[in-house]
Amino acid sequence: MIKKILNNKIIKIISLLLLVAILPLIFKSSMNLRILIEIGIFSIIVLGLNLLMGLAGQISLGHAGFFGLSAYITALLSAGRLPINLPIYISIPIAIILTTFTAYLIAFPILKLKGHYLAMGTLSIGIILYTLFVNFPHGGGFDGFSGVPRLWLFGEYFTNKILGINKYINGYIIVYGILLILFWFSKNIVNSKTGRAFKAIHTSEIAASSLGIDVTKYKVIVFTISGFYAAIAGVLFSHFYCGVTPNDFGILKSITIVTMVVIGGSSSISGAVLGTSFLILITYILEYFQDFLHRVGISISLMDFNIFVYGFIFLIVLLFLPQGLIGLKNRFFKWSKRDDKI
Amino acid sequence: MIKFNGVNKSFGGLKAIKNLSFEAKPNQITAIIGPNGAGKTTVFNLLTGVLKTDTGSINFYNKEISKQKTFNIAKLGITRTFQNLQIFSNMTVLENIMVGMHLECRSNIFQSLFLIDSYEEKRVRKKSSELLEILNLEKYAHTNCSDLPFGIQRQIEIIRGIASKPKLILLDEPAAGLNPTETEELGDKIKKILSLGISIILIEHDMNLVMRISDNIIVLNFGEKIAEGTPEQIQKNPEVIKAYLGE
Repeated sequence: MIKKILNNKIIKIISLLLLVAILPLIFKSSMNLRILIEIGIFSIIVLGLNLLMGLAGQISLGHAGFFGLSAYITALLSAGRLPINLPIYISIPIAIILTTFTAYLIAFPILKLKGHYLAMGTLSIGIILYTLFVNFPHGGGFDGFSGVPRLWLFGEYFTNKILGINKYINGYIIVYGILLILFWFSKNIVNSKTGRAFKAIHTSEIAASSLGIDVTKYKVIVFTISGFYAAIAGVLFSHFYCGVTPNDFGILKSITIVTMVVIGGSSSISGAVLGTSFLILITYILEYFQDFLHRVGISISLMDFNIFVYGFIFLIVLLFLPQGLIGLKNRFFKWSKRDDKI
Repeated sequence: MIKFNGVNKSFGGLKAIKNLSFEAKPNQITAIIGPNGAGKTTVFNLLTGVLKTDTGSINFYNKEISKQKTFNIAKLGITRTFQNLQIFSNMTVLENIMVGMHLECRSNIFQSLFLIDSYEEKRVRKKSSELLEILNLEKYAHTNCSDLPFGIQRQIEIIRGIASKPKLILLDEPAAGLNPTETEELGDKIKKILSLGISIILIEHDMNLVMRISDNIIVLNFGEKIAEGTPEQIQKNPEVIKAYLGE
């Protein structure tokens, strides 16, 4: 009974829209809205990686590179650091198109690799792009740069002064509006001919090609799509935080993104958002706990243990929840079914 | 239909196929038999473009296919099943059949993004369901393939192959792992596939099945063709008896 209600498509859509609408009313403070926006931006890149990893079975350990490339392109073009200074409505599409095209070009050689080799190959792409961010002449080196203009819903004057929407609510509406559209796209891809081809390639490339599926073409498509998602997340990051630094797009970030996919459940689109929310919230909980300890006189930097905590959670999920956190839903249904029988 | 002309294939120093020539006629069941390591699956891999020939040519309805890619050969109308089951275990039975209809499904990714493909999706779903009904497997439509018994999975792999509307299907040991009753049923289903106008090339170790359903048999030993003929001719061939039973 519960499963029937929860599986109803219309109820699902209405609940999702209600949730997105209600969240900023509950978590009103600027700090909470910042966290929600961060979850939204990272959910976008994780959604893309989820299609690549969970659906098509290809790994990428360098996806933060595409995220950063897009963020840097739009930041450089719009922050007045280059001889040309473009309005963000032009710099954003340029960044998205260039980054997606880069992912498309890289996909051809990199997806000839498989398994561990593919992991190492994509890791190298991430390192190359990170080195580019650090060494690009106008990129500000390790410190990056700020002064990137903010993206406003209807321009700063109209949105802020006339409509009275502050920068956090503005960011929330933009990020979650785009997230909802991309979430819908992902769902549509999964249930389509293309999605089935991705799933077939995941299980058996030889069987897929013997049924007429051009494996190379579909691998390139899924890598390009995930690059497109990363590009969108990149521009949102750049224009919400109004600055970029290479460390936001390093190898550690790539691994964190992969961890988000696995923790949420790589075979589920909803799992991508769940995993992202969980891992980002864990970081803030650690920060909160660190402040609390500091107030009671214990000075310890818990944020240094961030990666340790990620690794620990990763291990727990792999051991006990191979389907990720979303797998808990199925367990709940099994449990409730058993309860119904009683 | 299929013509092998002096095909050779080596793996390093090992000659897997030696100067192989044969012809498989349309609307027939052609069986390829031989002891383990005779090169039977290599023939299938060459036919489907998984392996490329060293020398010689393979023609399918007078079109040279030996250098073509696997998915292009599938487009020409050749599909296959595998000795080691290659079912898409992460999908339901119906989805597996729908993957089989990949070439028939006319939607593209942009249509899928905006759900413009829903009519096409419904059509493919309906046709896949109908195919399952023909072969009495509709009750498994929404079951995940990994949850099904081995025998059913084997049948799903075959149905997935015929869903792609091939002119020729290659069945690699379809009776492997099946009990005698299941093998008997399989034989009938293979005949049913033939009646749909799909030619069949079969690799099989179960000689009862081979002799019962085949029109023509090719016998391989150490990559060479040692005999070819009807089941009756093959059963009496001394070369074949020697290859199977020894001197």
